[in-house]
Amino acid sequence: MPDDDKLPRPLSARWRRVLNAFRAGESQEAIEHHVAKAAADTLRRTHGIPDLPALGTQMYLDAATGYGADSSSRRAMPTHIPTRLARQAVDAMSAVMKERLALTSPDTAALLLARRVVAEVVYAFGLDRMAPVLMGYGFDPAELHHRFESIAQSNPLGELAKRLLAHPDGTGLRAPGRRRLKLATADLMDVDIEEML
Amino acid sequence: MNPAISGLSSPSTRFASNGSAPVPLRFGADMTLSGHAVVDRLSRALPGLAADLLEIAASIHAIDRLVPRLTERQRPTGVVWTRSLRADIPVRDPDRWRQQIPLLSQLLHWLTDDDWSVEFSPLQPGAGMLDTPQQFLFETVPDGAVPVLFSGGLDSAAGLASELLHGDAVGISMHTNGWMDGVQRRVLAALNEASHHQCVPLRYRISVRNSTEASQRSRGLLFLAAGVATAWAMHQDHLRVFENGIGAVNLPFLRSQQGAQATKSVHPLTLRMVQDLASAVSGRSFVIDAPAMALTKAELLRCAPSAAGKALGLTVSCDVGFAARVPEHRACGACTSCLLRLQSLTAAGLTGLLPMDIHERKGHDREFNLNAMIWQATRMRACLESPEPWQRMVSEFPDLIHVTSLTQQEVVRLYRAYVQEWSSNEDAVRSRGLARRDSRTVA
Repeated sequence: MPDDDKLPRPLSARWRRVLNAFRAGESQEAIEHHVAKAAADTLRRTHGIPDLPALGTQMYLDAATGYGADSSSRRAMPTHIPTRLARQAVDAMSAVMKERLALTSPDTAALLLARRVVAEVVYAFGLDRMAPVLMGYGFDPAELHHRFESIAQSNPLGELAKRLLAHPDGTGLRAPGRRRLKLATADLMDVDIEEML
Repeated sequence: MNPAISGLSSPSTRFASNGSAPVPLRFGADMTLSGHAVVDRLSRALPGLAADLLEIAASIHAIDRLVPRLTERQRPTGVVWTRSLRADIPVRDPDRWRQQIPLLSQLLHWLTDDDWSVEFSPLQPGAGMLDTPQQFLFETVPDGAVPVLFSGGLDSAAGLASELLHGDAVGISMHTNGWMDGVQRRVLAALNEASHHQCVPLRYRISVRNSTEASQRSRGLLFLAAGVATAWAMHQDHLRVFENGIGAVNLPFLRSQQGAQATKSVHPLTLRMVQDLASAVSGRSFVIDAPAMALTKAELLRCAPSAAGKALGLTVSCDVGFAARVPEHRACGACTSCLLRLQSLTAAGLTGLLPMDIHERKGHDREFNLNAMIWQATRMRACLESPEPWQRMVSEFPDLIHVTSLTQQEVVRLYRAYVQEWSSNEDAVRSRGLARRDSRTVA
C-alpha cells in the first residue's frame, strides 16, 4: 500500500551553520559547539520541555513499578515535538533500561532523560535532516553515523542537558561557552593549528 | 440504480475543524461511496453493522481529505501537524457505536495524529449510502473462499498469488479513481490466469470532491473497514492482509518525522486496534491475519509462485501514481514506495519486473529520499551489530515498542535481513535509478 511518507527537512539558520561546518571540514570539537548552540536555540524557540522533571520522575517510577507497552501505545501523544520526543524517550528507556533505572535515584534518572532528550532534539531538528544532504556531498553514512554519535555524547550537549533541567521551559537557555586555549605567543609555535580552531 | 446506493439522497455527516462551525458532508455531492458491485456479487445486502463501519470509515476519510493541514512553515516551531476534528456521523445503530467511541478515537489519533471527537446520530431506515432494496439472483463467491485485502500493490498481489496456491479467495479492494480500478482489475485477471484457484474481486469505490489535503492518513482505516465489512457479509470473522514487515511497521527514515508522518496504514498496532474495534462492536471475535509481517518485501516476493510474475509486473507501488487521476501515470521512481519497490525487486532477483519508464515529479527529490533510506539502514546496522541488538533497536527506533505481534527475535531477524539486502544491493539501486533517468532524457 503506498505510503506517501513525509520527510521534514527544513533547517533553521543555526542548523544550517552546522551543515556548513561539516561541509567546510571544521573540527569535531568546533562542530560540537555549533550543535550545542543550535540545540539551545531550538529549545528556547520551542519553549523547552516544561514537563521534563515530572517525566524523569515518571520514568523512575515506571522502572521501579514495572512497565507495560500497551499503556503507552494507546495514549495520545502531545503535539509539542520536544515533549513528544521526551515521552518517546521515557517509553524507550523504560523498556530497555528498566533494571538500571530502578537502581538509580530520581535525580539521576532525570539527568539521564535530559541527556537523551537533548540528543533527540539534536537529531530531530538538525542532524537527521542534514544526513541525506551530507551524503549527497559525498559523506560516508557509516562515518557520519559515528561522528553524530560522538556529538550526541559530547560534553557541550551534556552540559546543555544539565542546564535544561534547571530551565525546563527553555527560558534563558544558553549553550556552554567554548573553552579556548590561552597560551603565550612563544608557546603557540608548538601547537597544532587544528587544535586552535 | 437505487439512489441510496449512489448516495444521491442520503443524509449527511456533519463535521468541523479547529473550532469552526459544523458544516455538512453531503453524500453524493462532497463524497460518494459505492458498494453495489460487492452487493451484486455477494447477492446479499451488507449487514447493518458492516454498512455502518464502512460508512463511518468513508466519512472519516472524506473529512480527512477536506480539511487541510498546516505545512511545517505555517505551524509554530516545534508543533506537529495535528488538526482538531469533530464529526457527527449518522449510523443504523448509534447506541452500539457510541460505546466504541474511545476505541475509535484512539485508532484515529494513532493513524492520523489528529484529535478526533466523534458522535453518532440515528440514520433513517434505508437512507444509508450502502443500503439496497434490490432482489438478488445467486451468489458467485465460492464456498470457503478466504477474504483477502487487495490494494493493487506489489505486496498484496504477491500474497494473494501465494494464497491462491492453496484455495480460492475473495480480493477486497477500494478504489478512488478509474485508473486505480483498472490496475486492480488487470492484476487480478493476471493472478487468476496464473492459478488453478479463483480470486473473486469485490470492489468498492469512493470519491471525494474538492479535496484539499493529500496526506490521507485515514486511508488505512478505509481499506481495513472494507475488508472487515465484506468478511462480515460473507459470515466470516477473519481477514487476511498481505504487507511486508518493513513497510507495515514503517519506522521513520529520519527522526524529524513525527507520528503519522511515517504512515501507519497497516502497522501491526493498527491491525490490532481495528481487530479490537470489530470484535467489540460485533460482540464476536474478529481476527486480522498478516502472514507476511515477519518478512521483508524481497522475502515476500520470493515466496510468490513464479507463474505470478506477469501479475506482479502490473502492480503499482508509487505514492504519486496511485494518488494521481492520470491514466497510465508512470511511477515517479523517487518516492520511498518506488524506492522500496526497486530495492526489493533487486534483492529478490526480479529486476525484469521493474517499470521501464519513470516520471520524475517536480519536488520529489530521489537522491534525498534514497539517502534517507540508506541513512536509516546505516543506523539499523549499527544497532544490530551491538551485543544487545533488540535493546539498541528500541532505543534508536522507539516506535518498535508498538510492534507487539512480533517477538524480539523476529524483529531482529527482520531488520538484519533488510539491512543485508541494502548492503548487497545499494549500488545497484543507485545506478538503476540514474540509468532510468538518463535513458528517459535520451528518449
